[in-house]
Amino acid sequence: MLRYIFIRILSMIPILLGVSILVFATFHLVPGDVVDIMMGDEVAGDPKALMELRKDLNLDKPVYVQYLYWLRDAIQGDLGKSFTSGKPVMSQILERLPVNIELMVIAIGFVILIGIPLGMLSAYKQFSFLDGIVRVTTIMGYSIPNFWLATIVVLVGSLYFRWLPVLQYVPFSENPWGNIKCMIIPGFVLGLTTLSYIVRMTRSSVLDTLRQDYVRTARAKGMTERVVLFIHVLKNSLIPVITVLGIEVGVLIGGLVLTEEVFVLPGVGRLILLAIEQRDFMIVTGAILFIAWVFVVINLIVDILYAFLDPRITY
Amino acid sequence: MGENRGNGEILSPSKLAWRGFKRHKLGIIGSVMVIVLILVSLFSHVIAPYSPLAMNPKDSLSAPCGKYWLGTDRFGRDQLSRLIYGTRISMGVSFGAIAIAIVFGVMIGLVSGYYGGLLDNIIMRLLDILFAFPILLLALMLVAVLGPSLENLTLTIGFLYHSRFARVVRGSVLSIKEKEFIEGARSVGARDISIILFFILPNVLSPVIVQATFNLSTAIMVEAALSFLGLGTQPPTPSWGLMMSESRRFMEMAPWLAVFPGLAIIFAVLGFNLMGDALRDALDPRLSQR
Repeated sequence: MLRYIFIRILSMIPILLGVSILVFATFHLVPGDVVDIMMGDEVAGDPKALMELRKDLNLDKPVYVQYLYWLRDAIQGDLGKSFTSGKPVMSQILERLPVNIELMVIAIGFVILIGIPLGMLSAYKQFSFLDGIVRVTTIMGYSIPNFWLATIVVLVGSLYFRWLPVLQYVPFSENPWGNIKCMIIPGFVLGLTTLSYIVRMTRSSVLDTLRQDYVRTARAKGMTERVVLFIHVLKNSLIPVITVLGIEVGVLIGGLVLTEEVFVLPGVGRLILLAIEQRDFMIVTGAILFIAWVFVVINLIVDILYAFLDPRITY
Repeated sequence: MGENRGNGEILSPSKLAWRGFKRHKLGIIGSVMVIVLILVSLFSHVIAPYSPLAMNPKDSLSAPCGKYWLGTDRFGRDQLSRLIYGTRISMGVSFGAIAIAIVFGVMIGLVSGYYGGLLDNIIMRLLDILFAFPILLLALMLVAVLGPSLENLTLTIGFLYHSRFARVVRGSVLSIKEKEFIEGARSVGARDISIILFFILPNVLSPVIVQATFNLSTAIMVEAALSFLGLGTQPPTPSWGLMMSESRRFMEMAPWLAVFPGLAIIFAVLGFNLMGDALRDALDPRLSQR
């Protein structure tokens, strides 16, 4: 097992490098270099000073050397400084990260607490009225864009309930209850697409498991239906669900940008959007590299979890 | 799905698939929705009651009424007409992007799967890098750098999605190339290129079609999301996502502006999803979700 984990971690390294190369290369598609962008439309002053600045930022070196410098800094947690505010990109990300983590936890919480039981129930009562409703609503669920749902929630909330928690974000440390009140609905909206998908996955996975011989054996041994369902079926049908959940984290991360934007929450997504508007590519690339790296690590954890759950995987 | 139905009738694979598809009621509904979308986008100029860009300041922010079925926006532009033209944008971007993705993805998948070895390994590791990104973020970054426009949006989505087709095709090629008929073709001296084009390609088409249908629905979503964020279609072009984002400032005065573009997106995404479900069950019984 340890060996498997070790190999998985090693195999992650080329992906992390590849991700950084792609981000760096994209950054270099921007016309002009960092100094040009920093200067913006201002008439460039002293060419000598500009040369100095370029030298300081290693811009006089070949591209691959620049990449190596950039990578070295990134590994050490230095993603450069914002063009506009001059603040380190990393600290700006870390400042806003709690919002994203909280939204993700709420969304995934809903997915697991509602999605998996609902999927099981729907499978267990296949072809029932409930199953029909679940199947139709989940197809709808993953066809609804979350930014639309978010907009409608804000609209209905403000028009009919005079409920506008969103425009005043409260940090958890200041007012935990107020914070949860303003995060719970955005979290749910964020999770809805994934929730629908997980319900369907769980349903089909449970249906598959119910047909397995070992389930028949367990029943034949005289085990109660509850034991069969929760011990034999649930555990085995969760394996594919976990894989999908790992992939869905990527969808949720994308959804974060939209959810934050509509609910006006100060997360990393809005940091990126604002930076794009201001053409502050240091923040854009830094934040995207950061998120992509985190995503790779999450996938690694899911893979390892998967190996723990499924003894058929050899390592 | 047995091939012989007991009454001695032998069904060809395509007939079998058609039967499976017909049984799927939701699939039929989905296909009708898709056909409606395609017709609307082809004949936008005929169907739309007004020009999508014509401003009528007098009728600005008018609620849905007899004259403007779905109301007007702040410039007094007819929302129904804008939604109808928006279909064209949405379909254009997503079909264009998926076409690009299919061309490159299928080519890469065929070569990678057929030749295998080091080349395959390199290609797959490169694709892993694309899969390592949350897709919307990568799209965001690329469009931000390239600059927001319809063309860049289409290219970006196409680039992002080609990896999915490559993976699916490669997987199918790996199993097909071990079949006897490939060995047969090789033994009579067929060249690699003709084996790939005439023996393998036709057999990977069904997973590609299924994949394409589902990806069309997500491409519509990505286009709408990026336009919503101001990084896709630029005003005054009518795009569903852009209309949604423009509506937000007038939401309380004119809620219809926020509601209808969203319903259009849901209609389109739902149509392709339902059709995709049915196609998958019909073309690829192994993958069917019961």
